[in-house]
Amino acid sequence: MKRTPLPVARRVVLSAVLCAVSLLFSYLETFIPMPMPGMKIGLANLIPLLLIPTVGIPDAACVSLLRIGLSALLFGSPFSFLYSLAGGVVSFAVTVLLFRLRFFGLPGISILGAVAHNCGQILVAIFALGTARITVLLPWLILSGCVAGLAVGLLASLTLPRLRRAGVLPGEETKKE
Amino acid sequence: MKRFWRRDAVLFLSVLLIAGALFLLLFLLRGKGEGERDVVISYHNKVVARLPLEVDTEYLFECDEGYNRIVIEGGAVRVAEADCPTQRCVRHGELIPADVVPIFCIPHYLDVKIVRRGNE
Repeated sequence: MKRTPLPVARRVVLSAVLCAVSLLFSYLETFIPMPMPGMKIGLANLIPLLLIPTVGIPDAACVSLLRIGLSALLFGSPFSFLYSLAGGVVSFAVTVLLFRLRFFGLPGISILGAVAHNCGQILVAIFALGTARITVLLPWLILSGCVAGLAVGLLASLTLPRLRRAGVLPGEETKKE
Repeated sequence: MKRFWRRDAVLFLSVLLIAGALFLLLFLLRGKGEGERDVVISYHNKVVARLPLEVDTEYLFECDEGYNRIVIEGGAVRVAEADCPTQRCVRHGELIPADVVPIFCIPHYLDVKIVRRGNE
């Protein structure tokens, strides 16, 4: 993971484009029916998974924060903003930590990030409702986070080398092993 | 990234197992037995209404954040209508005594659950 510094202009454009893409993902997801209300795939999490190992953590953080703020502004409410912000921050922290750890591949990182996202949201809900009773949702959220995280993680491990080869994302396309 | 595949697979299966174990735990903790049930409506975790489940009725919950129209019908309770932004409580559908998960309306700090009469 040797990083050659990118020109600022390229970083800005790359972040802006990927931010728009993740915003589109957040929007399109609202049309996918889910067995339980509030459940979602978390396709937008694909973008930080692609950005952290290539461009860097600050860029990925900016894109994620912008995406959360903009999607709340466009499709959500102040409440949903707080909610997804909590999930986003917890999930981002876990994701960065796991990238540093270099123990799991993209699917593993994505699974734990998704589960962390759901746990963060549960915590906010506990404070908002003032009751720990909502933890009965936890198994559902772990299960859905696991499956959705795997899907997004596999998607990321498929797209990352292709985007590198296409020259969209920086970094050598050949990885160790 | 290929070298991590086995670890990722193990992680996936263990997270599934954890979820499964939690499901089992909830299933075992579930309230069993017959008996009269009450619908308990709470706001900020304070009980605002306690209604018998067997009597079909309608209850309009109102708070500073908005309203939820709660309908008790045929031994089940549901939120028929609400002005909350998420509408999760409405989409939750009917709640029956066997259900473990209460209906939550997080924007209105509301939760609706079914308890055995004489409890709490």
